Amino acid sequence: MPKRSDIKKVLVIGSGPIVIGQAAEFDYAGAQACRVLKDAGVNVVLCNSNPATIMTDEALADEIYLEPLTIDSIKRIIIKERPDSLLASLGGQTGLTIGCKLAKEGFLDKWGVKLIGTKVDAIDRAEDRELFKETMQKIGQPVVPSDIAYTVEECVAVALMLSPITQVLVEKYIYGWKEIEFEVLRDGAGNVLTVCSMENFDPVGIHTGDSIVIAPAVTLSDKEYQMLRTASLDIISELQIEGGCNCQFALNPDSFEYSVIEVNPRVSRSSALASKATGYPIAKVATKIALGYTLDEIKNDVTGKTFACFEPTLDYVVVKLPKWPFDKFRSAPRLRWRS
Amino acid sequence: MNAVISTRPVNDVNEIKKYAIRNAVESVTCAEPSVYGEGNKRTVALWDFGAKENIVRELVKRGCKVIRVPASYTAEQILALNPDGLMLTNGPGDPAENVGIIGNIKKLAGKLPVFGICLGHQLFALAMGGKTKKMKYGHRGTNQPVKNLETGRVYISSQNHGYEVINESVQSVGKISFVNANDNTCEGVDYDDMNAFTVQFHPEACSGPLDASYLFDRFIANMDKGGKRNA
Repeated sequence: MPKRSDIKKVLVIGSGPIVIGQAAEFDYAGAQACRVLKDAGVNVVLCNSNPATIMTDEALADEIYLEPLTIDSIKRIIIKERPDSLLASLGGQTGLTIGCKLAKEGFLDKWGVKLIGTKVDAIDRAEDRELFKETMQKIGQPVVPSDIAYTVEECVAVALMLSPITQVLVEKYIYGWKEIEFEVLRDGAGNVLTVCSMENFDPVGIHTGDSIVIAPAVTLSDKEYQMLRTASLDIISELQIEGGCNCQFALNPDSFEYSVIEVNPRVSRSSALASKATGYPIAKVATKIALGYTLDEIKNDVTGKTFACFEPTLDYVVVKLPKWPFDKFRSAPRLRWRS
Repeated sequence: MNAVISTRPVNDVNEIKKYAIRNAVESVTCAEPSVYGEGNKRTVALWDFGAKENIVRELVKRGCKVIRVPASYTAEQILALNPDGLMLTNGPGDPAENVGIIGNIKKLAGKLPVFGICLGHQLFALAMGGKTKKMKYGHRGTNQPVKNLETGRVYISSQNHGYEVINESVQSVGKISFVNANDNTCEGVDYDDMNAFTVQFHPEACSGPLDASYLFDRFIANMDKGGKRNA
């Protein structure tokens, strides 16, 4: 379908500076998004607190606000700039959380702003742990047995204090299972495909961000691969994602038993790896999907003749190795943190 | 261009140029009929042109008794099995070479529900008066996009073919159901008045994506709708 004509001015929430836990991968995604929007003739307003990125250079956006990425800043920018749309799924978790809060508060409706890309309902069903569990159960996808803690009595006080949404998930420990991820895309017409599969060298128990990650998955048989691929596509179809998504699975190495660990309805560190490994520009395609194009309409810039509705096949392996720059923190104790 | 791999010098270039794959289907079909899913309520005659095993499994899984028959079987022999449906399988080589099989398909078309895959799709098209041609490189891989022309949906499929059905040649006898999203070549035809549908790609996957396995459900539904047996 042709590009939506109701999108003329978009506020993009960038990913801010490099901080521990959220690094420059999202910056790459946000910059791609700005380029796509500008090429499509859309007026781009960017909010990003990082002056040191190419994204905040003049060429990439029409109005740039070097402001802290907080609800308050975004509200003030919306009131001043009056954009018709908000793109919040390319700035990592921070962007997504802000976008959702504004939608739920009714602020976006009040000021006539649409949230483009994946909708709030879909984001909720992926991010809210209870809703996620219900959604997975509805479509027959196995999840790790778990429960939610809402009070200090049920859970460690510190964990609750740290949670920005005051929810802590307590799960059964599935130590030692394989950890497999899929970067998947879905457009407004319901077309779904997977861009890349990735395998964590370190099994479940070590966070993806801290693991050695290999693209594509290398130890799976076709049957296991297709099982998890189909699960990923069923999940994003059910969630009605419009754009990119990351699905993480735990797979029992000795059987076909698997669990859905988590689903991130946004670009993530894995999508940066997937994009670079396959050459498939996930953030760019996700932005075009937000503008209303379908995967079979979005041109493949590499071939020039074909379209974005295909799945890259890799005949090589890409490995991501995590690095902890403890050498820069000479006096700090060597603790590992969860990102 | 033909080529030869040899342990000694080969001087006769004409020999190499002349070489062509002949009798491809005969060399891979089964020798004798065999039965799978005994006791299941629907009978499918699976005409083996070099069938991929998973086609059998997908049918048995859906409650079919599958009678796998050699490529040399005639229309009369197949009808004598009293099947509820006919499965035309994949296979190797130039589809137009299989003149005998095409003649037999003509006799069967319209008499029972038909599902054709890959070579089966091409043979049915030829039987209906359509034409096939050799592609420059063919489509190979488990990541090929096909577009359903009715719904506009794109599915990722498993493909391995060097010949295609020419779209224009079947438009008077059937409706193009799928095209390749990259180059618009024919990926599927529906022959509604024959109660037949065929696809160029491999919905049985193995290896490859399972996106199109719903086509087997469609075949089952066609058999149940028009079936001689009670469902």
